[in-house]
Amino acid sequence: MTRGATEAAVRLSEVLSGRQPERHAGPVFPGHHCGLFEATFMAALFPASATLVVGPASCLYQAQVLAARRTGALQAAGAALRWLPLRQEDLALGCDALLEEAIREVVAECRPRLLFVVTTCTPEITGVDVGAILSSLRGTVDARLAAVRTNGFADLGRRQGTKAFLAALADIMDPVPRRPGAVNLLATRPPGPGAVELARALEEAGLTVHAFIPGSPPETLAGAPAAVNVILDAAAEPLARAMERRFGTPRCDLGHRYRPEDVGAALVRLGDFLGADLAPAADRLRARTAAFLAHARRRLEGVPFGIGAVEGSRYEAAAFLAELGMIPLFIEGAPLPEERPWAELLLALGHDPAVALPGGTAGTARLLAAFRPRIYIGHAPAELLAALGVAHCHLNSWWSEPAFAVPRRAAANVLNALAGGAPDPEPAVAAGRGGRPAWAS
Amino acid sequence: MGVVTRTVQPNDFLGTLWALTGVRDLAVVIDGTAGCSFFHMVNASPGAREALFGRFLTTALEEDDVTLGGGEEKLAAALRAACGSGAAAVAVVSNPVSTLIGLDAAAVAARVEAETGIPVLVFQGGGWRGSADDGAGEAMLALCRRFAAPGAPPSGAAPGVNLLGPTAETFNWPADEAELRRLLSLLGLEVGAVLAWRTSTAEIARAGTACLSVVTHPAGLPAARHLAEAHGVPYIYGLPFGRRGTLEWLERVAALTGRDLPPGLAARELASFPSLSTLARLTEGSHRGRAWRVAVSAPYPVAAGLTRLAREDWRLEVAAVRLAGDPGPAAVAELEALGAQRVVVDPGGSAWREALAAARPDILLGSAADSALAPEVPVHVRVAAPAPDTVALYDGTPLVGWRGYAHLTQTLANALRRPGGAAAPAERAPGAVAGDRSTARQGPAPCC
Repeated sequence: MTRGATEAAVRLSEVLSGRQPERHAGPVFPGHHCGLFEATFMAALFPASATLVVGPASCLYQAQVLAARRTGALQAAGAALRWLPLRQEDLALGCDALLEEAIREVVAECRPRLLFVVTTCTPEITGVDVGAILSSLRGTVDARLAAVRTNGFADLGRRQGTKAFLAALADIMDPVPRRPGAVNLLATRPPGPGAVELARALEEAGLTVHAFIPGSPPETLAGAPAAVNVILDAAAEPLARAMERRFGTPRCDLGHRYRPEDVGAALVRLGDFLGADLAPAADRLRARTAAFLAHARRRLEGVPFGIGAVEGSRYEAAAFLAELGMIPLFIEGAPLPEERPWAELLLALGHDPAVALPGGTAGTARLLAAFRPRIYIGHAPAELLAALGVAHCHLNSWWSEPAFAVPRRAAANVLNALAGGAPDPEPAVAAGRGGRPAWAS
Repeated sequence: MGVVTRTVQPNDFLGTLWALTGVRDLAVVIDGTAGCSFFHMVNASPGAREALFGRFLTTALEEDDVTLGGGEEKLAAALRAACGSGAAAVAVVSNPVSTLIGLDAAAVAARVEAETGIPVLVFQGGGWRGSADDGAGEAMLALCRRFAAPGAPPSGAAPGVNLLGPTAETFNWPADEAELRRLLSLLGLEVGAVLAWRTSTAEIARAGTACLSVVTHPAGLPAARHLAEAHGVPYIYGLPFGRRGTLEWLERVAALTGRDLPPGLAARELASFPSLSTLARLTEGSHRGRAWRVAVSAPYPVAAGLTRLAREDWRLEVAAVRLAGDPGPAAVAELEALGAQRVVVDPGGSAWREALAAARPDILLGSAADSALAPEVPVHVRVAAPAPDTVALYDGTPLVGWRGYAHLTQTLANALRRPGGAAAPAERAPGAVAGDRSTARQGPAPCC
């Protein structure tokens, strides 16, 4: 089950000249997570909601255990999880009536204002049409209904569960008149201090935040088509597209940018799109961010790193960290065409990291053993990294930290991970900073 | 009763994986979509995760494999990779998707076994066949059938005792195994194969030469019966709990293995814990002498042992007992004979929730899922999985044996001594929910 570590890797300069790294083929472990994995996290983030998960007991049990680690978040948001375990005969003989009964039962018991129904691999394979079942139930149950179709065999590694969960919200929205100057902030996590910072910048420019998704209550979500969508995370794009298609809701992508100059430019473009002057706020926040990054650079200079999956572009993240003086040893995944400028920037900064397609944990382990970075950025088992003496870091937070908070959070997380500290602020600290805005309550 | 559940019991697919995780030199191929493999890694309890890397693989079926076929080729490739990994044997475990689409893992496995000469075990329940105990039991039985050899123990070796039933996800097993080893050593016995945790095919090969099997959890029963029938290894089904219960368990082991129980053993063992004579002495002050009511939810041998401990040693009422799997009418009758006022066999949890609401216990000995069903119970003590809120790595905190009795009594006493630990039923206002502090009368502490 082992192969050479570096034989499949090529240098970035070679990749940009057209040579591709060898793709790992064959069995892997643990492989990609399924859509249910992400949907389980998302279920906790919607106040006054319930989520009914439909599938074999093993899928539901694993989701139950995963959710139990987030009990605090579930309780805080007032979200409930319920399970409909399927038997093989339910799938063979049809389970529409069973599913309908289950939905009525959850609505009666939990009285949610919003009910998500999440499917898994086996009902998807057998063609259970949860969308049609929900359509037939709308108006007969006292809750807004959203179908979240997930599986573990398609769109893997593309945040399928998160996208499906958010996109399902279009089903619970109402056609409402447009409110001038109102925006929705579309993310994948509840608002953190960085989101508050962005919201204040928007409000200073004369805009109002209608909804933060996820986080706002069902009634606010229902009226979201009244406001322009600002996409903070690419996984929210399918929702924005669905709202554009169904309600004509305009959308603008702020993106998940790491380099402060890119963040500033994106903010100014957003202001142009919304008809507001965001340049003063961008200048002020850029200056504040630059001061923090100058401090970070003194401690990050010369630290070698490897990088895998991150929110946004791993090539932009690598370029950002290289600009802070860090040394990229390897990057998992070849650059996409739109990532070429950052790949070229890395070369211009004097770095020519290895590029590999490791195909899972075992491949990452081989890269780590071969290159021995001081820190690995991305997803890898903690036991593996600890055994190799490599620090571990994710660049993001449990909270939505958009705009200039992206580079500050990324640098802070790397600093903390190298120091052996916690990567994220305590939730109480995050929630307490600056108070809780009205649109998040 | 509704169709929706608040908690879910694990199925045979998970039980099989948990059992196979515990065999060090066995490579495991999870056949199907990779999400199951990912969840298995992510949710593995501390101590079990490191047992996965380098041993587990997934065929990671994708859309074309599911709709057009092609899964057999991926499975064959994964099995060949596993057979070439240096493992003594390989197991293939079909997930719900693989079984639903009818992938014939057995045929592929037979072909690869013939090619490589490496034994390949096949488990095709797929999560549709039954409970986690069923799946783990099937795995333990298959391991014994394939590897346990008859014969005498190696020359000079002490007679071994098999421990049958635990898996990688058995709650508190490191500590319970340590106490079982200690207790058996008091009789001059050593532990042989532990199915299935931190064992190997070589240890399993010697399981047929053991002088006794102790079935610690229901999953161990099929293997114990096989070892008894095929190799003449007697077995006992049950665990030692409490003062008297531990002594009687040791007496049974001694009788079955021809050993003598050292005289005065129980008195010596408990000499360090004189205060354990009554729970009331440890819960002095305002709680002293109250008639707390206990509810127990655990696998059968644990539930039976705790029921007896609560009745005999703590002198508490056992208001309700839940068995997630059906151990048969004899077990239910035994629990009732031990003093359980109500026994519920309920995998789904709804009947158990109703039983708890009616019984209004003050203390719930159970899993995190049980706690989620009855958050109103004032005192919760973890004795079973799933327990994602509890780390149970330390081997000095057993539930079984005399040390387990001391540890459990101390744990419960501490919980009861804390402010607001448990208000006795008599203290609650009529109609109040247990644990509702606003309605509980806070009277003066009774005098001693």
